[in-house]
Amino acid sequence: MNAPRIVLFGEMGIGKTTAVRALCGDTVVDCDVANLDPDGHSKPTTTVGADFGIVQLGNGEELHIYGSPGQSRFDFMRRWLLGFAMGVMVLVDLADADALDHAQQTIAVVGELASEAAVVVLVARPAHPDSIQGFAEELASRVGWAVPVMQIDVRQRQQMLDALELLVAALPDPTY
Amino acid sequence: MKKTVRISTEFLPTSMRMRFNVLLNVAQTRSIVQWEVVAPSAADVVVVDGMVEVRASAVAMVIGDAASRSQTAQAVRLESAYSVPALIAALDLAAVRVLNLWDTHRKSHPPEAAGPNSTFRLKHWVALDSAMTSPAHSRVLAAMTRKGVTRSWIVKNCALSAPQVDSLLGELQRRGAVHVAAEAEFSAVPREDATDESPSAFGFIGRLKRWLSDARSASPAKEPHAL
Repeated sequence: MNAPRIVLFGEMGIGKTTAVRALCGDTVVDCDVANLDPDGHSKPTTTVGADFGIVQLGNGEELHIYGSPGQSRFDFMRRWLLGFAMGVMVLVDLADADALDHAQQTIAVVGELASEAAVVVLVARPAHPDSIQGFAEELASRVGWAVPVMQIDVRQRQQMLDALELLVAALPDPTY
Repeated sequence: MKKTVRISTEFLPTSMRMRFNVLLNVAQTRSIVQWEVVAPSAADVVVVDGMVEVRASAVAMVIGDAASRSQTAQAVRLESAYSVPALIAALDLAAVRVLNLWDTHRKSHPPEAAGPNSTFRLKHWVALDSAMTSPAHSRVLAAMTRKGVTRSWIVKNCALSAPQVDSLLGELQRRGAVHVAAEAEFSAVPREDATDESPSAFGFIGRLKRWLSDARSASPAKEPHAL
């Protein structure tokens, strides 16, 4: 049986690997390798394949957490990742001019491939509350519904738990 | 009873903000409205020193001569060396403009009267003030993102008291963030009796919620390491 999963999307370097680790602690498999694209991003390592962590709910039941690779050449993997997704977290940096487009496109893909999945957008870099509010309003007007938007420090486990709780609350049909 | 207008001084440099806040405490005793200091995103009036753009739905109070090009005619001006009487005058002018904005908004968005069977659905996500940032408040907002919910459903399911729910719904309506409709307008309105005692509460979601509760109360996770 495939366990329900939550998938994290976001541009390279936004903190998906860190977020998966914050939620799953020791039960993480990552695929970090040296970053061979220093022009694209200055981080020393990057993820090839998908980060994977497990939340043990007890009695052998599991929630799987995946971090989708940030590079666009791994787009094919999204279809597989979204196959059993009950929720999606979209990590954005509002200082990135493409943040709104990226969030809109990801939500559109989720709507196509996992229409029952809940979606939250996590602002993973410091941003002013007015900027976040403006982003939330523009995103809602683009996608046609009020996507939850939350500022977060992905390194903080409690904040990731807040994000997960919000995602669960946003499930359109909690029939799992 | 005076109406309450929300003001933010967060964009001011520290020294200017301290002076403004001190004088605001004096000036507001004679102002035509009650003033509440809040974050910029929730403010009706945003005080700036001319270098910061203010969103269109708020009134800018600009201190000093260097007005930003984008500040509209709605902006209220205040000289750098302002006195308490000048501040009172500026606050009252800003309050009048805010009340006019509210009036204009009410006319362009006819009041959505909420009856006992009305449903509430978010138009867009909102960051609420600190008094409304509990997990229960977030759960209410999340429930309102894709479907309309009734007041009684919220009271029954979201661990908020009736006054808290009324306060939340009032705030959402004040900020124009919620669509109010007759119950029949939304097909996905949860049943009134659909509480957390429903089967899903005992299924995967219920177990995940229990895990979340346990994880919050547990000590911080150990430093993770890759397998």
